[in-house]
Amino acid sequence: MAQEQGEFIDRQGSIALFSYTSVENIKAENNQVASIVDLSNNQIAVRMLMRAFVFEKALMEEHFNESYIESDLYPQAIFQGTIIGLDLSITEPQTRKIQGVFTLRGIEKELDFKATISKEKNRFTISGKLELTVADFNIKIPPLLAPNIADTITINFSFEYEPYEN
Amino acid sequence: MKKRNIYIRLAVKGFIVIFILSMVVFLTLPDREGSRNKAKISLTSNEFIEEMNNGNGTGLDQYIEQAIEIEGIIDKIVYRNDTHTIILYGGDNSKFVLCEMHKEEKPKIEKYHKGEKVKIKGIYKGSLMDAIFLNCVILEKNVNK
Repeated sequence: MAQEQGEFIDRQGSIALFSYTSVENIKAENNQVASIVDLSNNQIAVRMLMRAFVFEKALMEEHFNESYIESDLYPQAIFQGTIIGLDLSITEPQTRKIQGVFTLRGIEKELDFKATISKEKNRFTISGKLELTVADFNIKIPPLLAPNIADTITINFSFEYEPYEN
Repeated sequence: MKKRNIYIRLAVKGFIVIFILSMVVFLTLPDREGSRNKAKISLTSNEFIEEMNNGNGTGLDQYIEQAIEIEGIIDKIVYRNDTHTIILYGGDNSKFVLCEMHKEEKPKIEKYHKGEKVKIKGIYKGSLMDAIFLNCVILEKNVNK
């Protein structure tokens, strides 16, 4: 890879949320997630606008932004971490651990999850899955709606990085 | 017979109440479809990014979840995750306007290419490195060309 020590960017990463309960399944997607990877120290930063999550039903989106996330007060979620043992000289897809801090609603939570990293010419992708516990972020769900929302939310992520020419 | 009439009246009243409530919910929800509401403001993509750079873009916060018209030059059109995004130049190569297009805009999008001028209306969601708009619709082709 020609620019192995530089910064790589994806302005349009994808993050999908899934909540599975016996009452209903809820899915939301955000396809405008920004992320930068600095290959000089394997640091990764991810930022997303909470209002850019799109739900199947408008009412769900409203509850998510107005009641649960309080997007006016906390418009962004941020992850900052390190990809452990990343080696882009490996041409095969590699599974690596990512450790860092995720900030949502002003609450910081340490995360540790696996991701698959694949290289293609001077680009690479990072994808994977992790789980977040709703209670960790002080999200208040009214008792009436509690059966509809899972205690643990599954997060799927996918990023395609290209050299960052800033 | 009397009992039957009471049931019919109750059913009709119930239907009317549900209909009114549905309309209230529909009309008070945020405009997810960029085409439904009149634009609050019309700017070029360069003006928008310039505004974003002034005072960390806080002046634009008043337009979050509002329909805005944006006119600019296409940097690229990206198709990912079953979604088209038209990326407009923002005056330099560090910040852009990202317009995630409404699914029904696909036939119009295919007529556009890099370097062309386009006018888009979408719902402003805020900014990260770039300004982000969702549910965008194309208003007209080759404005002021």
